[in-house]
Amino acid sequence: MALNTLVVDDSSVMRSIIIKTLKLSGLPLGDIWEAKNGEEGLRIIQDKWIDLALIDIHMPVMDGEEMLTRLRENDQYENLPVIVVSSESAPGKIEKMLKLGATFIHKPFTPEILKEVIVAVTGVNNENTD
Amino acid sequence: MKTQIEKVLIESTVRTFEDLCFMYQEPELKDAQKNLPLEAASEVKYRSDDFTGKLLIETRGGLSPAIATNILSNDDPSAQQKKDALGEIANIICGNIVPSLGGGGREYKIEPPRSLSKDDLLKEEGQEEPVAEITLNFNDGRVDIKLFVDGYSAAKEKKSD
Amino acid sequence: MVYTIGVADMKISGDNPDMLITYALGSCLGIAVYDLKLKRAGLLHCMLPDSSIDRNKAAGNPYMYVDSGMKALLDNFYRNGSRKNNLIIRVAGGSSSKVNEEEDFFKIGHRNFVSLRKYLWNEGLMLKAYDVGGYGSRTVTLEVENGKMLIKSKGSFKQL
Repeated sequence: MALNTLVVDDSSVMRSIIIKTLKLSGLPLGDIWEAKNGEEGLRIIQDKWIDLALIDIHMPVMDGEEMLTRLRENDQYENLPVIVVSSESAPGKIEKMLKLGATFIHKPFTPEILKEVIVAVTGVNNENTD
Repeated sequence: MKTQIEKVLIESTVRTFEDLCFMYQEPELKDAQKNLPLEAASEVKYRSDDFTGKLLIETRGGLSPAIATNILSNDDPSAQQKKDALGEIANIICGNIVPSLGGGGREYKIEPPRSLSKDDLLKEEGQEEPVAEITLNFNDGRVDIKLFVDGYSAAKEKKSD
Repeated sequence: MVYTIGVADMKISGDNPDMLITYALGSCLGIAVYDLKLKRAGLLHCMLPDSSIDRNKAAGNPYMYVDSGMKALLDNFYRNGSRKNNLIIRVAGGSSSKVNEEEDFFKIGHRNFVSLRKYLWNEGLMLKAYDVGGYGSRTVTLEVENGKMLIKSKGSFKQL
């Protein structure tokens, strides 16, 4: 199974770190889509088949919490694997994201940690072979 | 003597530089690192129910290009990439530190980072006193971080009256 | 045959049933590279994070440093036909010189690990597994036949 992945973060630098990690992970990847805020992210999810979404919390236009809330309101995306990747450190906010069925990765993170969580969330393991 | 908030600020900064920039803190500031000219600065504004303020980050001694080079694996990062990389570092440190203010745990919003010129910095200098201020050295350069809480200087003056 | 890799040294073998072993990793790193397709195994025992501190020393013995040691190790794999996708990279060691890591002023073990992650990120590779930090010494064995990596520490074994 090739994972079509959506990366939502207002920082181009953070999107490039996440995308590079995905590419180095050895996981079977499909298309990778990028969005700068929750609104753009939701639009991509409606238009494309997405298997995994990695989303930031603090973003302009629409933040990650609102994006995730709206996503879960739609039955179709109730079980979409979502990893929230954020520097958010307020326990209450993190708890809200977990209750919405997301897994949380705290920034800063190492690429190795990000990969471990992606494997755990998607159940897709990597095999290093051509 | 470091305050609790300065300790948290140091921890967050060291971890961010290690995990994302692959840089480790040098144990001591060398003399050459003490009088380096400013090369780049960025600020992130935050607000919670009780506090508003900003985190200001300044780099010296080649640290700004080194941050972008290491994160992006690009030996010749563009001016925009350097600004974005420093902004993201400021953003992450700010996100880590703000919930620790005033007993901790509170929710907050942060604005996207803003790159500052020397003129911008001069205009703002001395207007407020930082709640916490740290200097750390990485590679041959240096990073200075100041955390401001709006109204802190006024409250402090009032208290000492 | 069993090859023992000393401090600031490296060995690569593609001969089954060779075994590579390195003892007493403290703050040093034992970095294992294994090619799943070609069944070649390499083990590097390096001491310090960054060769820029003394380029002459690094030219004389690249295996002293994490960055120059990794370059020499990986170059050998590439020259012998390895492709990045088939390499698995694991590391052990990097422990603290003090029981309480806070008191470890120079944090050499910790820096070695940061330096390795930097090298791999630039090289476009990622660690598959790691057992680093803490206090105490580790012994690492790597089997050429199957790439099995065992770590012995404080009397117990762990497979990475």
